Amino acid sequence: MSAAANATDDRVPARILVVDDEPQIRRFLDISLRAQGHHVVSADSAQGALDALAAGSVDLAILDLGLPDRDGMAVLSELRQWSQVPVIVLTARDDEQEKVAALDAGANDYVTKPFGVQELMARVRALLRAQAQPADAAPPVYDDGCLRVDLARREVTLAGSPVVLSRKEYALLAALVRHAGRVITQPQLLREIWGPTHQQDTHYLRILVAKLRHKLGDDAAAPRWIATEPGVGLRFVAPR
Amino acid sequence: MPDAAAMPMPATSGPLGYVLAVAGSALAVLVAALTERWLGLDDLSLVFMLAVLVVAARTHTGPAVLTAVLCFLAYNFFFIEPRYTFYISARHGVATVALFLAAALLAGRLASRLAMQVQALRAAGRHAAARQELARRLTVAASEEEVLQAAQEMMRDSLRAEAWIQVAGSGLEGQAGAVPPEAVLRQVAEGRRAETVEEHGWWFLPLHAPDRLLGVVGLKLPSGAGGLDAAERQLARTMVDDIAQALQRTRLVAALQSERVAAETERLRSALLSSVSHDLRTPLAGVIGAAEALESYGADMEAGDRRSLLATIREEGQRLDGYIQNLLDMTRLGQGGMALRRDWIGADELLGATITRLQRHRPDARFQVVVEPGLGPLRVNPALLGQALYNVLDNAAKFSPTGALVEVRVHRAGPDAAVQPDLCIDVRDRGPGIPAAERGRVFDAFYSMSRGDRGRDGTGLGLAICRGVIEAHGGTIAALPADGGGTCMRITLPMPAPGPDAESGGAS
Repeated sequence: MSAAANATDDRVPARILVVDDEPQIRRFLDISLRAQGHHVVSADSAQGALDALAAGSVDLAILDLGLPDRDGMAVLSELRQWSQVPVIVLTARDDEQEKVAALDAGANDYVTKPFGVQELMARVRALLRAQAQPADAAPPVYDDGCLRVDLARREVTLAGSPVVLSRKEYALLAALVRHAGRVITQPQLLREIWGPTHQQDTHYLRILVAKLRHKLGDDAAAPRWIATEPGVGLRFVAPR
Repeated sequence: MPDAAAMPMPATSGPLGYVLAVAGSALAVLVAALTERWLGLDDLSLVFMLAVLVVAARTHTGPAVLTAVLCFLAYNFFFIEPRYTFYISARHGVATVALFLAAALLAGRLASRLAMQVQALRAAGRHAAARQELARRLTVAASEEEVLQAAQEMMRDSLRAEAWIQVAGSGLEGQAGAVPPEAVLRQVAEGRRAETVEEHGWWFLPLHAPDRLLGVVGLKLPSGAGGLDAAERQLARTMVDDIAQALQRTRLVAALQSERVAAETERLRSALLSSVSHDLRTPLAGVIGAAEALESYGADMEAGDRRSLLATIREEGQRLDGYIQNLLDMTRLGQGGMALRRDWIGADELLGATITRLQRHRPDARFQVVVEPGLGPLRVNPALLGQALYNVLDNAAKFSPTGALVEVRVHRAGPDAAVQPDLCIDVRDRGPGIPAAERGRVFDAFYSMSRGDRGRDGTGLGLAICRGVIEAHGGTIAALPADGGGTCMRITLPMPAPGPDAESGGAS
């Protein structure tokens, strides 16, 4: 796996807050994250989580939405009033609405319970990478050897030859690349590309993403770059 | 009598008949005066005879006799010498007017009787048609509500009476425009009005079953026109009998149905219980056993054995998770009123996400997806349909020989694919196939269990959920034999009307 090769990048030790009321979940997350070289702080309640976050120096939080004292969603919206620390929420599988709501309330990504630890670590890595990039730095260039997206020059090339994209197609691709490895919800994309009055028009998005995939030669049934998270949004699959 | 049958006017009754008699006589005098020049005295009597016949045919005996007498007098007074007296000079003149009167009276009576017979026949025909129509509508009525509705409409149409119907024990009350007075209602409710009674312009008829009283029909009699005649009352009684029979039939059918549902529910519940105890415990036994083995003897094990036990824990845990997901989905489907939160998603996207999820559980499964170009997105509940596809693909992978490709083809189909195509998803495996006799039954809940052959880790729920989800989306699923062996699961879903254009708002 290429992650091992990039170990120097990914293994930057971070302080990670784990919030879950189940001791078993806390324990296995604690062990796994420490095995990746991170420092782990744990909390078993919403209040404990907010206290730990207020104390500062947390680089990333993993937040269970079902907490005994308060709704995880409430924690999220309170936190977002004073902090932009990246948050991954843990959700139940059945509720796509809850996932979208959490992402719109400021969560940066989600993992569905029960989850594999590899999946979680991939999300953690993607978020920490994005965090390491200063917000005012020049827009990055995405290049995996086949697809190259230059966000500063607004250029897209596929295997060396330029790809002509419509304005909206480019806007979609740019939004995805900027969030590489992370999910973007349908309402977020609709807001960003069509404006706030079109947040419900998911049909637009389906047509547009089909056109973009077609121009990139990507296959929705076996996505190489643009993966659909049904009912939630889209995710640009960054190489591991 | 084609003339009489064609007469559009119903028999005139009451004072109107006598008005008609006077008017007819006056008209006859006028016509006779105008035509006297060309007609002989004897022929003039025919003009008056005609007037008597016409009036008689349209009224009844009284006006007919009146017309005959008036015409006799007018004929005498205006036309027989000496005129403008009732005196008759010629001897034969007396005979003429006497015979005229006799003939007019007789003809008048015959004509009016004939008219009444025609009228009665027509009413009988109408009533028979009304009964037939009622019987037809009662036959197709599937519920008590529909029976009552048909009854009310037919009674209003054929008897001009608003019907109020109360059925004991069901709380159903036919909604009529009118409701009987409170005092009468109370008597009806207390059972003191089981017999036909009439009061306050309402006529009550009991709805009898052989062994008990089913309810009461109250007819608000049409005001003014003299209520219902004997024939109409007879019609009302037979209609009420028909309604009582129909009510009994619907009750019987409903009772049988609920018995059948109860038996089915019981069967499902016992199957569910044994399935839960088996399917939840088997993976748990694996997890607990493997974990304990690692805890107690892990230090002495070879690395390969330790990895194998760890893999067991993970795989069995995932299997348990899948089973719980199926149970949850089935509960949601079983609750019936499952609100489908629909969203747009391409069939290819949904397949891609589902295959990604499936390959975490089955890293060895291989899929080949071919999608017909130009297909628009579907409007479905992505999570539920995703789970249905997951179950179908999981099944296909499970029964495929190791390393064999599962082929998925997405295309347009349907009887009139050119006009209104369905979306068709074919999932084809290279497994052993399903015997023809069992293809329809694989979608029954706990089918694999009742067959005694549980497959490799079948729970008997997966395909039942597929069918539930797909039918909730208005689609179908069927197991077909595939060319060259194996099974082809064919899912069809209605294609939504094309949505608005994505690029509207000025792109490109």
